[in-house]
Amino acid sequence: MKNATGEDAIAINDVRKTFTTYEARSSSFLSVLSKRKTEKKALRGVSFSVKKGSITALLGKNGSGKSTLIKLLVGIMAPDSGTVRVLGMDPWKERITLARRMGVVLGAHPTLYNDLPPAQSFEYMRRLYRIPKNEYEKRLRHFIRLLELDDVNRRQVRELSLGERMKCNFIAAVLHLPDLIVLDEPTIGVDLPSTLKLRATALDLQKRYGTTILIATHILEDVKVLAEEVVILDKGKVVFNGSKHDLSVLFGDYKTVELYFAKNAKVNLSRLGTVVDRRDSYVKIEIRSDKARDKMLAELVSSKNVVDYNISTPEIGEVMSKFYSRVGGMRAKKR
Amino acid sequence: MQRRDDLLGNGYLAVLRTTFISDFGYRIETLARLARRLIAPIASVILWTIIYAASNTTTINGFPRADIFIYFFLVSAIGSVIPNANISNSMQYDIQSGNVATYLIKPFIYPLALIAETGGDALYEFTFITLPIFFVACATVGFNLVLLRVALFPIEILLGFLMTSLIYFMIGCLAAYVINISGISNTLLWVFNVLGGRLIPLTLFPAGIASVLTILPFASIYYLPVATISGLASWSYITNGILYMLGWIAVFFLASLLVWRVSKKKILAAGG
Repeated sequence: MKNATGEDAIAINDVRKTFTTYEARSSSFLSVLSKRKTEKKALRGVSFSVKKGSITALLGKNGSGKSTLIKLLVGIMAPDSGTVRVLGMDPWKERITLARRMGVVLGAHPTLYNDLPPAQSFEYMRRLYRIPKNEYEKRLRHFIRLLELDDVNRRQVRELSLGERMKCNFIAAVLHLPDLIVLDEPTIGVDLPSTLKLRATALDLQKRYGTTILIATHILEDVKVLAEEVVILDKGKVVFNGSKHDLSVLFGDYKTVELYFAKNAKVNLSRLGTVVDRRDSYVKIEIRSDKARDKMLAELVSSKNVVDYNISTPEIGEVMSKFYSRVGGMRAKKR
Repeated sequence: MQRRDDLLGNGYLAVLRTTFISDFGYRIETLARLARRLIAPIASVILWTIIYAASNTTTINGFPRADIFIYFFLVSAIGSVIPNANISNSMQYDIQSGNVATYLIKPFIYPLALIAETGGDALYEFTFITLPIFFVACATVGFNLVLLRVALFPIEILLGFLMTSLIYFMIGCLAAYVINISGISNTLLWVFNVLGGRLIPLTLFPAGIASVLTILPFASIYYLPVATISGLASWSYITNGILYMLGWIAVFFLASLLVWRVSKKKILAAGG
């Protein structure tokens, strides 16, 4: 775990949170009358920090504790134990002051007024965050240009497409130029062109204003394009905390090689790597990266036995898939 | 300073303003509600006209038959603003859907943001439903307007709005525990209707009951503002009524703080 410093926008230390829920004892008709009290440990000693000005991805499967963590970060709930500091503040105790310096996009809960054009919701944000009129107009023009929203600004929100609504929602959350932006599934259900614009705008905010961004997402392309750092939660615990590069090195330190062999070629591939597909003269093989294997591969592809080949490094999706299967495997062994 | 700024800042005015503008999106609905408020009191007027005729009298317990028309039309007009059940309905929705998070990510105190939001709705209703019915009723009956009584009318409505907002806020807090509060909310609405003078002018209750009702918070919801502007209430009744109302607002405010303190964590946990 990285230690929290004054350079951190977010510092979380040994945070625990347990929820009490009531479950039906059975599935019978009268089960609603008899419920059993159960406890769900949503966070079990979570610690990590996010550097100021960085973009960090918060990943994890459903039920991993991401939403609970975001609620703690924005001050919606207090931890049972441990400390949460966001921009130097305790979110639970200083939620309102913190909210002035934070922008939050909740993909599942848009904040725009449905019956009004986005322009009215933006004006509402201007009044709420007391943004000077000329500054507001300058910022709004900039974001509208970046997100290509010129023709939708004066249409009622309920008439807009999901992508347009999400982009407007994004503008509403960042108009006051917050120091920290928390994006919870910001591109969920959004079409590709809108997703690309949203990502470009997030990067623009980071570069132009040094904004810290924490993005909770299931869409790995968001991670690939935006994030520098990655925190992965699993069953309420941090199971990975490091750079995107570290994640690839640890779980993506292999390449996939597709080989097309000449007729009657006889090659022993067992020392090179694991064959994952084989059809006639075509072989797909996964090779761990090390000097000896790289040398063997170079010799193989330059030999007469191989007529064509293709080498690719794994996508973040494959890396994550390997990661989750490795985490699951470790847990199974422990049991 | 920051806290004071957040409590009194223009954020809540921004909510009130935007809600008011947002309500303009439903102009046909507003006209329909206006029509409903004009039609609804006709049944009460007919019923009480029959009762007076059957009694062969022009005054019952000091309530003149001639005032029936204006009384029930004004009660109907006020009914579009108070009692403010919107607040508990909003809370139920916010808690059930997790929408409460959309308030909490902004620099708002949730209960104040709710009151500002329903205040925007109430201001819209007052402007486009209460006032038109008031003017129609005045033009039809032509009763004498006393300036001080006219000035007190919107103040009493505002106090009634605040008082019922606090009551419904406490009911809304229950949604964190029982999830569906529609039944409680509707039952309370009928308590207000019966004991607040919407169906029966308070003076028409037996004297003992009427005097008890005067002290209870319900009286100030419908009866006090209507009796003030129509000249039915004496100045001492109005003064006492406003003092009772202020007292009840203080009681409900303290009770709301207590209820909020107890239920806050559970309500906020629903956000997200």
